[in-house]
Amino acid sequence: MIISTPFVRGNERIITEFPDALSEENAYLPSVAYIPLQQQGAELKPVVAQGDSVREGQLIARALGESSAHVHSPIPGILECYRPVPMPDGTTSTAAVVRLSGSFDIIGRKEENYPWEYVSETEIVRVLEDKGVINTFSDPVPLVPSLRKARQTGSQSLMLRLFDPDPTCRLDSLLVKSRLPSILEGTALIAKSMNAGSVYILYNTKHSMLPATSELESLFPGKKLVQIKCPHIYPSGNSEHFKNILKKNPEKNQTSPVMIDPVCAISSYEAVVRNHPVMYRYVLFSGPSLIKPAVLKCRIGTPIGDLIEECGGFKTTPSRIVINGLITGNSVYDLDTPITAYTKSVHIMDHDTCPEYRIHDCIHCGLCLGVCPSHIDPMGTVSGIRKESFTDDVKSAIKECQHCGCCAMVCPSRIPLHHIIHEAGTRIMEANR
Amino acid sequence: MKIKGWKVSPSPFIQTRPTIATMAQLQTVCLLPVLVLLLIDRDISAVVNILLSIAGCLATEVCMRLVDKKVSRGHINFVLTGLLTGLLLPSSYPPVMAFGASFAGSFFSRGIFGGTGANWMHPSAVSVGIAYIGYPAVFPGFLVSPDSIRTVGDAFGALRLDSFLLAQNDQSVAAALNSSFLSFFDIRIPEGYVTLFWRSPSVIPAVRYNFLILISSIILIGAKALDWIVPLVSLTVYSLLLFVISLFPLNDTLFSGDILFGLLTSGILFTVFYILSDPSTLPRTGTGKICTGIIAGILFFIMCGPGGSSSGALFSVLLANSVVPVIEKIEKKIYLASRKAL
Repeated sequence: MIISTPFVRGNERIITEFPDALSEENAYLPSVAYIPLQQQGAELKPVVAQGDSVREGQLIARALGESSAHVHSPIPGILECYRPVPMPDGTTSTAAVVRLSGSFDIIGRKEENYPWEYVSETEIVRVLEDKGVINTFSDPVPLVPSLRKARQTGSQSLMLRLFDPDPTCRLDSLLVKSRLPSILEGTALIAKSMNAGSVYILYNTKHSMLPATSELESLFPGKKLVQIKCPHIYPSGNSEHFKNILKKNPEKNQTSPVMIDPVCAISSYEAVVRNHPVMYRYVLFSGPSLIKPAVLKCRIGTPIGDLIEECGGFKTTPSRIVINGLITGNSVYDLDTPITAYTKSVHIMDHDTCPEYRIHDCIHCGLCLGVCPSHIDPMGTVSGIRKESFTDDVKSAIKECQHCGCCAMVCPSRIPLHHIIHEAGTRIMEANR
Repeated sequence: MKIKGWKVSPSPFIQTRPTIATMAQLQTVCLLPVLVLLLIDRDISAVVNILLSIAGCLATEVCMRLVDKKVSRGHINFVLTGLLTGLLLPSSYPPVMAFGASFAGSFFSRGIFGGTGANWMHPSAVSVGIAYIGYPAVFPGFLVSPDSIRTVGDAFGALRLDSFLLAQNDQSVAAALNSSFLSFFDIRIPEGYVTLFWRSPSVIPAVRYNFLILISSIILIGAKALDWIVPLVSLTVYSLLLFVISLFPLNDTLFSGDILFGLLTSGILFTVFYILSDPSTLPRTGTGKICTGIIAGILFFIMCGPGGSSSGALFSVLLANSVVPVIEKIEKKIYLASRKAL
């Protein structure tokens, strides 16, 4: 199946090829799990000592503030040591190394069905916090602080995106096809926990199919339900897109909405309804160098090398292993890189599909200017940054950049324009602090 | 604010456009059949000029490496520049001067304008301009005289009057086209146009093989290795002007210009697709490119008239390139204003 996604501006298309049918399977349990203690940017406090045994789903590291979420052991076993491991985002983090042994407390047991409809909002928030639910809408962050902030500031909107912002990472769309009831129930309980007045459901006709309105209304009682059909274009479904939608739907006391994706909704459902902490993730394994593409339900901490082997191994010599989509993702170089709570897809590229990375001088073609969805001048902005000439135009361009990568995708000189602009924005923010 | 230590990831891992190295390679490969035809036609002096022009660009590359450390890393842009320069020089141009003009033009472009992406004027056009100043006598004038056109009534008729040799299969190919493909449109091409298409009578190799140039341009546009806006607009403007008013100064008739003759005898096809479309010398927005295309089309008409001038098109490009900075200044202001209005 070839998926062609047009850009918002310019006559360009992202062409991606996926197998027509993808099997959804449970991955084998890892004999050794490397459970990173820094999955959302902030370090955690380990609560299990080296050599202790851990149960399946037991808390092994506690959050140290609002910027981190608790981490639980995805498998039962012995915590052998803490050691640094390469992370999917290119950084290195300390991981708890757990060797599988002992009996299971969750797997193979009867599924719980917690009646969340009858419990208070505070109780739902407490459960979500205890189970370590994170929001993977964009950069991974713990879900609960944003819910608390929403309740404090009176933000009344929850937005659920039912498609992938990066069309080359199809996990969200695949989950919507196979697990829509769980996603909607997870969204409903998040809406209840933050006392949302309105729930926006963004879908795109190409990948998502919603149930009847009456069915949805019964799931979100007393909430204003807005279904928004999004065109199959890129970029779509990022926070900038959501803000534009809110501008068109003005409501009283409207502040920034809480935005979630299917992975976050499923995590919330599993945490509250099934009483499971965050222990596993659905991950799409695909790419021309992989023998058998599949969606695997993997335990967090499983090395990607083991999972690639489960997909039949490499068909050809891989040129890159890309995590979380070809447009916004990262390249990893170590097969021991573990699956984390924010891993959505693993794409194995071959040498034919891997683009050339040698950077040349700008040839002044203007393609970046023609495709930018924010109507900024990417090359002009980068020139300003390089010359350290931060004029008002350059500053406003840095602020308005969506970091979508359209400019870099069309650039014949392969200049990583959006990364340079994003980095400059980060540095300016750091300097202003 | 001093910024140090950038952290830049190699994403995106997907590209929608070829790299500049691939574009240069594709353009060079698309021009190789012209070299083969030159060899078949035994135009050895043209081939020598092309090779020496490439050598001139290579010499510039070496000099820049020594002087300025400005190296076009790995890609073969200098080969393409040399090839284009050589193809635009008349076969009878002295080889040593071809080397000198190519070296001087590319050195001037690299040293003064700044090279890749910063060229104000196309390096090959600058080289040929220098070559023209150095030895103008070998550059051909108009194929047909105004008096001949006035006598016969049209430019192609005037050319046929001046001992124009038809290609061997001209009659049979024209008859086949007229009876099959063109009959659906109720169009008939007279004898001689097939010759102009296949091997136009010019001492400049770039003007000769129009059919190859057209096919290669279509391939390059399809492969996204060539910008199509400026060539399309300039060809349309030139064709319109040519059709409407080209014969008016000569015999007071309107709407009777010969578009095919103009396009096939002036080297305009080669010039618009390979020289004018260079992004370094063009504005960056679509509107700016359309304006440049219109200006180039008008300049083609002023310099080449009803057709038959092999070198006029190139000087039109140099003139069009010279107004681009003004267009760019205006387009920047318009773009910023439209961004603020959003």
